Amino acid sequence: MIRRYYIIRDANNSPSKDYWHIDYCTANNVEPLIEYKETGEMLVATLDLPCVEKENIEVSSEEYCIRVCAPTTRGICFKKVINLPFATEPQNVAATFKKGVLVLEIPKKIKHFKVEIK
Amino acid sequence: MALSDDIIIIETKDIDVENPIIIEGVPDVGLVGSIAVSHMVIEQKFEEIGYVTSDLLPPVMVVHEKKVLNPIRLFRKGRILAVLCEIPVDPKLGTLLSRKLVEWYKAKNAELVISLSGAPVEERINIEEPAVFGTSNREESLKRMEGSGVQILEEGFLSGFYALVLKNSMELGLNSAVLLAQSYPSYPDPGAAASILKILNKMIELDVDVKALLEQAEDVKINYRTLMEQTNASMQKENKVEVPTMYR
Repeated sequence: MIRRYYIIRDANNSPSKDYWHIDYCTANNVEPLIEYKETGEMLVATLDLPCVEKENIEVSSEEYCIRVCAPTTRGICFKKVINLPFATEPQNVAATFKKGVLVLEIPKKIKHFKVEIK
Repeated sequence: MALSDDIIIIETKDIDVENPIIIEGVPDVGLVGSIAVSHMVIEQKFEEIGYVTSDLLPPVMVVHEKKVLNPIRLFRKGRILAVLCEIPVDPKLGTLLSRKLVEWYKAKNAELVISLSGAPVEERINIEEPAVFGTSNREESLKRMEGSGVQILEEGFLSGFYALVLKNSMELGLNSAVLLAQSYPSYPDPGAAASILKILNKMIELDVDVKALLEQAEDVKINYRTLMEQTNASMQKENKVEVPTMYR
């Protein structure tokens, strides 16, 4: 069982009012560290997945959701559900894994058109 | 009982050293400073000589090799002193801690203060050997860094804990330098820490072997994941500071 500790702050960000929230996970699942970069055409999500073999990574894509499951060699499993604020084309989601970092390129279904001004 | 804003440095061993060189590792971009100093004190067998205590610190103790330790500790080997911080430093704590530490460095007649940090780069994944950039408030340190392979910052903007250390050092007349290795913005980066340690080996009388750090990089990233998560949250608060457009 993994215990995850978070610092929760009150609305005024007062350190004196901090308290600790302990999340007792029943499974060895942790969320990976993640960065997002969004353009007009796609969302690029990069996930830090140390101690993970490429062959063991599972990525599934739906129209509004990407799911990643990556068991590590250290007994924990990285799990992340990315809920998309736009529709994607699930079959066109691309994934590459390099140096322990998974890069997901998630294209947007909505295309931008330049409107001609008459 | 009201909590105090005092920050107290406790010396558990006599620190009788003239003009020490001080190396700081505090969590920020890529946790470069914390990872580098942690590896350095273990690999070079530094002796623990004290710690920092305050009501402002979160209720955290660190366990290393079955020992319970304070999260901000002081180390010494020869004339090198090291400060290792293993908890996120929020803006208020950073302001008070940087002031207190620089006053302590001044009291110890420090010859040079070197702060280790990361410079976030988007394309870090494609960089094999991160470059190290640096700046200092003294011309002599800039020459020393340049001679060790550091690319000196011509224009730029420093924010956060190390900016305060530089500011306080200038006010108290201390010689202070900041080294920044190209790093992942939000992930622990042992590769960047290794690059900065190689530069330190050239700059001062150190001989840190980074082979083990690079071999165990994946394990190091797992170990530092939670600290990185909390540090990212703390840095987001600092980023609310508006940076002048000319530096963007």
